[in-house]
Amino acid sequence: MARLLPALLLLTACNPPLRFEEVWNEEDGALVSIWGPSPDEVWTVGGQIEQGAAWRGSGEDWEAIEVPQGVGLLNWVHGTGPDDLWLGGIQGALLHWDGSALTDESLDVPEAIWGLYADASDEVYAVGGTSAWGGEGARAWRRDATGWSEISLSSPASDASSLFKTTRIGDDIWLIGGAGVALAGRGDSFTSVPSGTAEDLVTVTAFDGGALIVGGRITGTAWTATTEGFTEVARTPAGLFGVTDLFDGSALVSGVRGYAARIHDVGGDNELEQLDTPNELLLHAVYAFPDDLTYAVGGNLDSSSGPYRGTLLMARTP
Amino acid sequence: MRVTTPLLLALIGCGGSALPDRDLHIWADAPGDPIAGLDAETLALYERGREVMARSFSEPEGLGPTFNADSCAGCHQFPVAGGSGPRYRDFFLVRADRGDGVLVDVGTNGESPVRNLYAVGDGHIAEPANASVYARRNAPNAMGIGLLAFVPESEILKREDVDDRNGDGISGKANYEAGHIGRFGVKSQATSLESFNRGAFFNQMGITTDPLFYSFPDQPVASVSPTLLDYLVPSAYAQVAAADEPTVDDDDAPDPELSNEDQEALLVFSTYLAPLRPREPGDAEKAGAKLFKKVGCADCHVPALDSTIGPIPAYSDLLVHDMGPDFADDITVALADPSEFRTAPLWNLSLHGPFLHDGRAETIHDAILMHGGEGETSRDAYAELSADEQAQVHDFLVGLGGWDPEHHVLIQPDDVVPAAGENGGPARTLAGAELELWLQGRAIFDETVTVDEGLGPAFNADSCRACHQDPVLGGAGGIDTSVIRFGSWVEGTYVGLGSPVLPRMVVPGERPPRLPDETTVVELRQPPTVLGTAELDAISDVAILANEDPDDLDGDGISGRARLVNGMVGRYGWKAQVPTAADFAADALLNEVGRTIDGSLSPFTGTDDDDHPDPELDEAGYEALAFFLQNLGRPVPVSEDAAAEAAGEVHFLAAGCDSCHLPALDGVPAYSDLLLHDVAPNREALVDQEPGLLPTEFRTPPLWGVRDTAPYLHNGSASNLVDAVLLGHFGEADAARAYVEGLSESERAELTAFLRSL
Repeated sequence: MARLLPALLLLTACNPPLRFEEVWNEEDGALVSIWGPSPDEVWTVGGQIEQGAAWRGSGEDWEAIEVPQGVGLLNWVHGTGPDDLWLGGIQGALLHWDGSALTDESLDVPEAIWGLYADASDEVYAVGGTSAWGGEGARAWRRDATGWSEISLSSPASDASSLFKTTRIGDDIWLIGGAGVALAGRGDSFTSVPSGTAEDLVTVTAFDGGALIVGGRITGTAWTATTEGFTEVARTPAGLFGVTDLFDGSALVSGVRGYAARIHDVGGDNELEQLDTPNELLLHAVYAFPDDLTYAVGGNLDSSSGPYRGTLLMARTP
Repeated sequence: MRVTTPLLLALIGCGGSALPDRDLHIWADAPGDPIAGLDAETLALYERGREVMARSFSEPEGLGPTFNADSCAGCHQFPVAGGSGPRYRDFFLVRADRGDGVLVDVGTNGESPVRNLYAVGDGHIAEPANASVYARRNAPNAMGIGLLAFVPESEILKREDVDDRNGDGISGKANYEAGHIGRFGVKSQATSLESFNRGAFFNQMGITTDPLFYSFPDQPVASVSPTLLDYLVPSAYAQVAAADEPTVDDDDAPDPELSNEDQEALLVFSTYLAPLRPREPGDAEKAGAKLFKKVGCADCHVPALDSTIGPIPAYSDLLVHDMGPDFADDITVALADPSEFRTAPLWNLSLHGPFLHDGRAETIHDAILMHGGEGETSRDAYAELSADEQAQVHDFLVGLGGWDPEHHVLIQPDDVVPAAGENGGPARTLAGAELELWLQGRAIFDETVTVDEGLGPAFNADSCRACHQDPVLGGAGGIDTSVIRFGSWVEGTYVGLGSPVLPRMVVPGERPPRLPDETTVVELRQPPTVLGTAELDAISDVAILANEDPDDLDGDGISGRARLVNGMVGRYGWKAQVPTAADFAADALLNEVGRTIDGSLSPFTGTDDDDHPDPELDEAGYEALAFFLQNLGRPVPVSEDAAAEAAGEVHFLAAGCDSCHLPALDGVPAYSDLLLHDVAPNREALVDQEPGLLPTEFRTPPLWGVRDTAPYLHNGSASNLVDAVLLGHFGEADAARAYVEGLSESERAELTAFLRSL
């Protein structure tokens, strides 16, 4: 593998600094995902294994949104606007927010929904697969005006344990998952993207016309990608789960044990700057608004002792 | 702090040879000795630390709630406390995948990947069903480990070559703990011995501690200034989850369960426990040393590092190296990737077997050939050496240990053999061929069985001695050597789940079986002492049968019955399931060690499906082992307070304990009638898998030598002898228990004194 240490020690940051502080320490659940249609309307979801939780707000002000009883841990949130959000979780949990309440549209499947992408109010994608709480492999679904239907997967996607995330890159919807699986397409038609890696691909975001993907497991890797293939841009000592564009040519990645780093000049020098974070909780997701706030959320998801607790970190987007 | 640099150490350089300097003052000539030059105060602490190292912790003292061993020396036992760990003490690391790549530690308390086998109260904790990462570790020899603390960080860093800029194919890197360079552990994951020790106490024994001096710059050598990595890997997967904080658990013992004074003493012991002086090199060793350098071994196994107390010939650069995909086990520790491991120190190598971090290699030769990754070039060069040259390398490496043989035995050539009448001695004075045969059997009892010799495929111990060594060879085993039995009760009916024994260990490369999900009951069975088998064998069947009263015809509420096995009266084992000492050996060899003998020698042996052809112990070896047991003397009585013991005997008799614990049977003062009695409470807490027996029936255990068998009862559930009466004596023993319940504290102390004197 590429050796990290010199890169880590060469902090030639040319961008303004990104300094995180914890603004919320949630004792009653992990914060697993964060996204918002605007800086004033941000959602974070998570909770406990037995009961999911959702909060809405911004900055230091957050309010809990009532999640239907029996809906388990929520893993991801995305939408098209403040009145059209989707929340996905373990054991097929799917909730829709219409601006006033959550409606349960959960799928009757044992698989976890790991990722969601709402391209339009009548075109939503959900991906997932095997989790510690059930399931037998990777699955993907699409919702149109008639409702949810399953997307047929072929090998290698059908061989993977899970698809983890989905987003739109250019005109394509991308689905990424375990063992280096990446697909691009739309509707029911997806073709495999040659990733050149067998590592797990965990989270994807649009970046500079292409995709920026993070993953790994014990250690982390970040790649830029197009439908032509992947290019490795960084290796980290921690497995990565979160990635977001910082809108200045750099990107923020996050992972286990409070790991957060900024990749400067992505696709150019790819300088990796380790960021100071206030705790060692697993930072599962990051999200940034241009000229506003950058968020990182997480929790003790990698601990088997006791209930989940969460953390929300905030920094001024450079 | 007390860990100071001794002033008397001579600083003698090693020169350019791969041979170690035998004149350094760090060497010990006897295992367990400290390095030279310690002052009297430090030496006193060292001796106290040795006691802490060997101390067996009990549940009231804080053992658990889960644990693998009840003492440090349980794992670090060869050839003395502080030495290396045998294969049966290997432990496992387990992690589980949530499904999205988040790996959850599912070991001790969820804070560590270390899997514990035993649980106070529950006996055993099942492996999590979703454990997806499974790695094995073998406890290393701790002799000399503390001297690594005196190596300056700059000495380690100067050999780092993360990007292999010199193009030699070797790219070692330093690992870190809290921003300072690690040097302890197979991933160099710990900077200080204190955190390393505290981690082992917590992860392996469930013993909690407070931090002592946790301040890295105050370690024996000053740290280089904290690096930028200070915030990179705060303590990721370090030995202690939070090295600067107390460890706590949720058992009934108040934290910390080890006093700071004892912890400090152990720290002094582990800091100054000396490596054994290397052998005087002969021609073979000298040639081997040259070859060692020539093939490139010395590039990572650096013959000596500079330190503040002179050269440290540990044969390690203390860096982690990529050892290739065969070593990768999905365990990362700070910056050490799954396939990266610290260059193992080679001093005292012959004390280490089995070899490599997980004990996968039986021999030094195998260990070299298993090197991959950055070690591949040297491995290939070694493989191309002639057989004679490889033997020279072997001699050189064994010479670094200063100890023979490679195979582990507790008995050393110059040890004094106990005489007849002494603990561990024969029952009568032996001479000539008889003595020779008895000593041969004793050596087989002590001998560590390797995989190549038939160990396994699944096993609980790799020698007879492993479970019978307290206080001497042939004694009892601790709670941490208990056999794990399991089964299932459904609506009051027992349902067997196949073999009722869950093996603690398997041969390398295999994964231990896990407890079936249907399990409702786990029952531990502690290894009893086998001292006295000579006299137990000599008791006649008639004498045992004479005390039978299965229908309680005499109306005393006690109805012991004999167990007939193959037409003989069973007298060994918690269920009297084996009739003779020789058969007991055959049974234990098969079921605990996985070692077979010829079926014509005992009906209690069998075959197994490992790679070694059956029988795995030849007839002569088995007969010697049997002869050893058939002539092993009784435990020696110990009187500490004759008056209290005499008073205690009165209570013993008045309670009616002697109804089953006969003071003499056929003239043998074993304090047992060797009959089965229905005495255990709560049958659904027991495994019921022996036809014709109630699960609550147990053979009256002999009480001679009982003082050395704590914790007590078959499952170790009683931490003292009075509790053994109160917790384990019901049914036929109701009256005796009721009597003891009525004793005052002082009377109970007298009863205890009597029992301890037997």
